Formats: sequence, C-alpha cells, structure tokens
Amino acid sequence: MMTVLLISMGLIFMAVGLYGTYKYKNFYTRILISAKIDIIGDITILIGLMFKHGISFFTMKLILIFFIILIINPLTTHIIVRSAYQSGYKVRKDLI
Amino acid sequence: MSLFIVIVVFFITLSILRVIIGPSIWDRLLGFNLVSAKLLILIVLLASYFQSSLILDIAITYAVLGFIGTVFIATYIQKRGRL
Repeated sequence: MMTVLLISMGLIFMAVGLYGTYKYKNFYTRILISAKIDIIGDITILIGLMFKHGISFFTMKLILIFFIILIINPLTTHIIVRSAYQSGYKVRKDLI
Repeated sequence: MSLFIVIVVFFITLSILRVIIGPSIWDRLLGFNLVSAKLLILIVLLASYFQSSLILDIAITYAVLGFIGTVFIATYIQKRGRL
C-alpha cells in the first residue's frame, strides 16, 4: 500500500514539473522548476520502490542509484544553466 | 505496477516534445536532461516489475553515462565548438 502511495506521489510531482516546463516562457524559470521538482519525483519513486522490496540486494542497488541521482542531477542542471548564462543568453524582461 | 510504467512513458514523450519545441538550444538541452532522468526511472520501474536486479545495473551505468553526455554537450555549446 505504501509503495503505490509513494510512487503515485512521485508521478504527481513529475506531472507538476512537466506542467511547469510548459507553463513558463522564460528559460531560466523553466529549468529551475523542472529540474527541482523532477529530482523530488525521482526520489519519491525510488523510496516507494525501496518499501516494496524491503531489505534485499535490490534495495542496496536502489540506494546506490538514489545517491547517484542526488549528486548528478543538480550538477547537470547547473552546468546547463551556466553554459546558457555565459554564452550570453539574455531573456526579455517582460517574460520573467 | 504496469500503469506506472505507462505513465512514465507518457511523461517521456512530453519531454521529447519539449526537445522538439524548445526555442533555444538550451531548452533542448533541458528537454534532453529531463528525458534521461525519466528514462532512468523507467528502467528502475521495469527492473522492479520484472523482479530482476540485473536490470538495475543498466540503470546505474545509464545514470552516470547519460548525464555525462549532457554535460559534454553543454560545454561543447558553451565553447561554440572549440572544446
């Protein structure tokens, strides 16, 4: 029961993240929202799966993936925004 | 369980739509980043659906390699080809 609850919550977070991606016209707002909420969705789904499989070899690998996602996802988003900003990608004031 | 997989596949198509629509290059990079993150979750869900922890190794390697690809594309674009 806990698994289904957590995984559906993760999927709802993903849906909100995707909606944020399409709602905002400004790139910087868009990537802020989608990256942040996307990671939360991933984490919730992984924790939901951990509940499903209990203490087993499967859960150990899930914990490894959990930490890989925690480290790499923000890093990638930062690098994308940094490359956008340093290449001089300015956004019109009225879009923000 | 299979319903969750179908929903994640639907989200991946929406992210691919963002890659296609994206006005600037970096929107496409954002879409690519989203697709690789969701693809990872899809592989993890499939692994728990097929009850085999071998598929999870694919998810681990994809988690590392998929994002490194995005990193190099971003630096390639930032330096305008002179990596």
